[in-house]
Amino acid sequence: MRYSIAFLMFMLLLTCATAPVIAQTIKVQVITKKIEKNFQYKEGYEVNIEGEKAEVNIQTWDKKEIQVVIELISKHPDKAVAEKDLELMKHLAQRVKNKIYLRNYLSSVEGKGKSEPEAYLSVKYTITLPGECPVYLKNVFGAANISSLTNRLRVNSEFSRIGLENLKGAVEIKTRFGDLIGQDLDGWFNIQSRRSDLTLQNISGRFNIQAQYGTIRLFANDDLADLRIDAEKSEVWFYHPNPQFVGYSLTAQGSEVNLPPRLNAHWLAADNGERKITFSPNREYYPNVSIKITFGNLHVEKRVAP
Amino acid sequence: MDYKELNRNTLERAISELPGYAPEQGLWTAIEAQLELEAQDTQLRIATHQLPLYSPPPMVWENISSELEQKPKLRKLWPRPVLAIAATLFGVLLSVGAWLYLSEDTGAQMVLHTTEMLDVTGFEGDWDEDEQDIAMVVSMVEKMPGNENLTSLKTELEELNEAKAVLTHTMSQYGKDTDLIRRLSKIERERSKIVKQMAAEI
Repeated sequence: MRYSIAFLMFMLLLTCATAPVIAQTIKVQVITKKIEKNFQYKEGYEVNIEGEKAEVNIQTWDKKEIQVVIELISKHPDKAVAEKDLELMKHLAQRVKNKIYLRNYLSSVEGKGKSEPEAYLSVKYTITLPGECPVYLKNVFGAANISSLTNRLRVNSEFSRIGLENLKGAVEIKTRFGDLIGQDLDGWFNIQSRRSDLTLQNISGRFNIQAQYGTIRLFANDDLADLRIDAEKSEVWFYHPNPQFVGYSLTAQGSEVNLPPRLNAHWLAADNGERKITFSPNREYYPNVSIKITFGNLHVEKRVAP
Repeated sequence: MDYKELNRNTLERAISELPGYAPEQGLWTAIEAQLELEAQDTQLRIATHQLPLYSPPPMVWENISSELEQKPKLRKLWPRPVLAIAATLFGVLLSVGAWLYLSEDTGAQMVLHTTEMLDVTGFEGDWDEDEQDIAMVVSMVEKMPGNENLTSLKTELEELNEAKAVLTHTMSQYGKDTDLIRRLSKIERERSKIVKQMAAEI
């Protein structure tokens, strides 16, 4: 017994001693080029961002001004390498007529003896603008956090995480191989997602979602007016505070559907393997939810207040 | 007809006096055309959504930048030097005035230097180790008689292969980071699922 305890103690010590060896941490020199630029805002202006490997933060303020801060970051254990590779990162912040263009890209490495960059490179945008300023964002291999916009937002994103908070107005999102996380969304939303996961909390207004190969979680509130989902090979969860007061039009093919037990609805089977259900609550006004699910799963549940 | 109403005659008279309406000519054709258009529109939207997104190569932006940087060649406008000087002075005054009135912030730029510890645990790329086995499964599937399921699996694998290639290319340019590795891991898991399904069909 004594030997077993001693053996255990030895193993524990060995684990503690080897843990720092397993974790590999290196000291790097961080060179940051920070660019700050302000633009006057006029009605009809649009901010147009094209980011690559960029973290884009968009926030609002009460001033009629657009403030742009771009940070180009290069990290490498050798300072000279970090500085050299930083020069490969190019940026553009320019107003042309009513569009404010913000870009970053990696300058091509050409010529004999030239190789790919060795440093860890990334870009960070912090944009502060009036809430009514329309925004177009295209981002690949990055992240975006967008909050408090009230007019028009268009996002075209690949391999990126998009965070939305407190948005109103017309919003159009296209995401591929990404994640979309939203909170407090109210307006006209049009979302096209492929191989992306969506989690949208406290949604109201009108939503139109087309999704393939994704997991979709929607938490609606009582002000949801209209929801249309066409999901293929996807897992869909729809939560509503009163799912029995919602009008449904559901179509399922090769999919499992779980409805709340209080929803006394019956499925109608069609010849082509589709199952359909329509349900209208006994009320004058109710939100319309239309979901088509193909080779996936649909769950309709009561939303429990957090 | 069997009516339960008390004033049957009045009801019958009222019904017979109701005006008749016919839909205007071409209405049903127009509705059919509209429905067809909507169906086409949906198909088109689905098809366009599946199109891959391509970023322009860096050369394009560089060319635009160099074009923007090129100064235009000016020809001599004023043959007499006095006029030229006066025009220049006037031009300078006008430009200064306009600049003061319309100027936009030209921006500030600074370079900062710091150090930090970077955790590079698991950054070694082992994601190509099974490519030979995956290629073997695909080549066996290629030899099989085609069916709908296999075609669909092959299309999915091609899309994932393309995504992996784009991700690894970005890693070679910008360096590896946790987010890129996490995304690549997810793609690799999905590829594994498809290869296993393909293998089950063999």
